[in-house]
Amino acid sequence: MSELLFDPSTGLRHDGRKPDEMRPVKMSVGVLPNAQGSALVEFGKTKVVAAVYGPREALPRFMTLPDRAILRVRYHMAPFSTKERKSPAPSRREIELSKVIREALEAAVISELYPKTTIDVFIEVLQADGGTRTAGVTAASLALADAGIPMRDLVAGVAVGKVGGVLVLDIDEFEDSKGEADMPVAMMPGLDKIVLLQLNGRLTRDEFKKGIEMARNAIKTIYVLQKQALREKYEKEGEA
Amino acid sequence: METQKLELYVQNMDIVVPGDLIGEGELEEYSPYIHVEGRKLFSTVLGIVEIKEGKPRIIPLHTTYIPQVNDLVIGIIVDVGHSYWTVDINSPYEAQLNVSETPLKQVIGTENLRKFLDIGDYVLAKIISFERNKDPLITLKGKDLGKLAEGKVIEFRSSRVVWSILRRKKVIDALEEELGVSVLITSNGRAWIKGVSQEAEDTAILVLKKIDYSPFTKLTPSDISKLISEVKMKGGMK
Repeated sequence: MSELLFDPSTGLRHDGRKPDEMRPVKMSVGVLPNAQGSALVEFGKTKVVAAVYGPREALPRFMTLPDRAILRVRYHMAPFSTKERKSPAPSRREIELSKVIREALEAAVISELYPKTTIDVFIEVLQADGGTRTAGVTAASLALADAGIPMRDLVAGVAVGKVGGVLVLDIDEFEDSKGEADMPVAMMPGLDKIVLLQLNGRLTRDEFKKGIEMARNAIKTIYVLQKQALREKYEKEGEA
Repeated sequence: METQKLELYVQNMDIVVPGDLIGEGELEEYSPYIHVEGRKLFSTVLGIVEIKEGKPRIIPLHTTYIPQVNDLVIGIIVDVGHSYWTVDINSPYEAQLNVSETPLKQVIGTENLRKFLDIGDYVLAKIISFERNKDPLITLKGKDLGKLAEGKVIEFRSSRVVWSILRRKKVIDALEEELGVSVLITSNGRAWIKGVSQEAEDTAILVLKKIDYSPFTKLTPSDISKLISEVKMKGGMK
């Protein structure tokens, strides 16, 4: 099976990518006019849309905090996002991902500016092909920036995996299910801080270090694309 | 004590996005739109840099209005209580207007406040207090404050219009002179337009909306005249 995933003779992966090559990344900002901020992010076949509402009055009131805004994140996979229909009810996995994405974004958002309010972030996976949580966190941070919510830095993420004994960047669904390890990483690249780090499977100490380094380089590329998307939106607004 | 010089990496009117390094050094004034990490200064929002006397300022493209005492605001009545009104001031916090803060004499409990101000009415008010654990309080007592019975109210999409116009009185003067309207722009991103005719009011609204949707540039009074004639041409007005 590992030969299918990674061909040592050519050094290429099952889809023809090199180990440190990302899938084509596309981003657009302000895709949903009803939301205060929104973004659509694509990593190859993975397609994620994020929408931000707020800061707004929090309901129920008892959930609010007197010194800062609360961040509510919902990561959700559309029933049509996978090959087999996914039940639209939030699964254990989706609840967990909502939590880790929220914690990653909380590090970036300057929530002290809006006490007693809530900032709602909705992340909807339209098409899943691996790396949805990192695409989700990338889209959510773009949507937050679009909504005008002050942030210490943008958050960008990518997953590193291990297939056929080789570390590979931005793994897709096939590599994720058949590979040996999967490590999603999200960072605030400008400040050089890691805000999300998970690991499924096993990596040696050296592999881990190399994996982080690969992710960091890729995240810097994504970061440039994020900034570009925001600037493009600004220019587009002028034409409207 | 000598303050160390601020070194800036951006120019006036540059567009910045969150995470952009704008300079290094000490920042004299706190700004929510500049994040300080050690000596490095980062932008926290999508906006434009304004540099005055070597000090950077970031004007965000979109912001949420946070009330401040003495701010002039245009509010919409959303609820009527026994002795107060709840007012939407285009902010995450709803303001409260007490009867004692209106020209009304103390009303008897049973008297219906709706006769004075009803849901959907616009008011021009002033913020009198805003604290962390209390919603803002507004007043109608003061010069020119009160119910807006005539004219039209619009809401701006972005904060830059408010910023650019509020700071350049000349621009708004040009609009008022040419069309014979009076325009009042408040801190919470709303404007009240009152003119001699419906037509003048509508033209003024179209001009303001056009500025709202146009790219950010410094406006001059002559730009306003140009915009007015453009709007008039399209609308077939004289």
